[in-house]
Amino acid sequence: MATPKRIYSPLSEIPAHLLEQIFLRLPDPEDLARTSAVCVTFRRLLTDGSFLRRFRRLHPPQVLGILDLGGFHPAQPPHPSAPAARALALAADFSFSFLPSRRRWAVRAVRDGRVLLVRKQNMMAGELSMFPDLVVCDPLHRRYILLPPLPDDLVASVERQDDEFLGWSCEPSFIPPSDEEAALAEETAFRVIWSACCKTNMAVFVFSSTTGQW
Amino acid sequence: MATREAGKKMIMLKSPDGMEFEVEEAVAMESQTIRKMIEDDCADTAILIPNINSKILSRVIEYCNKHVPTTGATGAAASDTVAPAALAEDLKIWDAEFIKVNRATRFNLIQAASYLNIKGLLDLTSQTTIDTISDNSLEEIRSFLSTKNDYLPEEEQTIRRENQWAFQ
Repeated sequence: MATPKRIYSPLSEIPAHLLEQIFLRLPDPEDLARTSAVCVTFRRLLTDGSFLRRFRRLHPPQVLGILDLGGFHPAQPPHPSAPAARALALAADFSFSFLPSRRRWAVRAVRDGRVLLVRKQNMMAGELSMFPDLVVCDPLHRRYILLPPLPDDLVASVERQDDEFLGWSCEPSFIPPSDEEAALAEETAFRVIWSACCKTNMAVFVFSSTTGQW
Repeated sequence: MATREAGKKMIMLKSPDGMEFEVEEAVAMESQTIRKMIEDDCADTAILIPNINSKILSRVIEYCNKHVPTTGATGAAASDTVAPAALAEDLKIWDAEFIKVNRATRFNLIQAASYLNIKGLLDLTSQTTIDTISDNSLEEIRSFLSTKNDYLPEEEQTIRRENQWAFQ
């Protein structure tokens, strides 16, 4: 590969772990993107997964926009993250066209760049499940995981008579990964919670991406 | 152990170029690396500091001298008469003067602060670099950090295009 000859300078003589320490102090993701354009060494360092994870731990994520039934609404100027939000709107797929076809999904929750969607049920076709299918996806990288259905024994433990069923309300949502999960899988870990309640009963089921189980 | 004033332990720090600096133990212990050596009883009366020349080491000691907590170690009078806020303000002004050094010295100070594990000094020296990155164009950053642009022209264009949002 034809790379121009590297000329060593004071900063490139600083060992990588020290450069990392300095770059962790950059205030915004914009600065990371700009700094990565300075030279090849900086880019390699700044785009490294472990560096980015450390950076995210030190810098709380910015609000980039709102995702609702009408789609993604990026932050508008003069909000400081407006340029990044616009870039995200262009790069990501918020119509979720990458999800398995002929299924219709509704957004239920958003957390840490992940979206939880629930399969819309067709009442006319007699579809009425207490716990419809769930999918978790990353609209930026167009990846998704279909969550396994709740095991029958778990469903059976809360299932009531049909007349009471109508009184149920089930709500899926994200909860942050536990500390152990976060340590194991870093920021790729997530947990989904199904909470269901009726007049006489209340149940909560938690799915962990680390174990892949409810 | 050498003592100069009553109750003040002195420590000898030696740089690899043969200079010796006698400093109060409390001052030397601003460095977590040296503190650990002392606490683990690994330090005799003299500690050799590798890789940090006498010029940089003397600046580091100057910093530690200024930043050592004033209570007890360097005379209680100062902290009795000066309000903490005024003291902090004074330190900030002092720091700003202290860091007015050339590039090479600053990078050496960063390395020394990291090796000796002096958080305040590492914060101070890194922050100037960070300010440069935040406030300037790519060309200015490169010139300030004396970093060579080793991207091929088309590579740099791609990166700029992909990250256009960060250049607005």
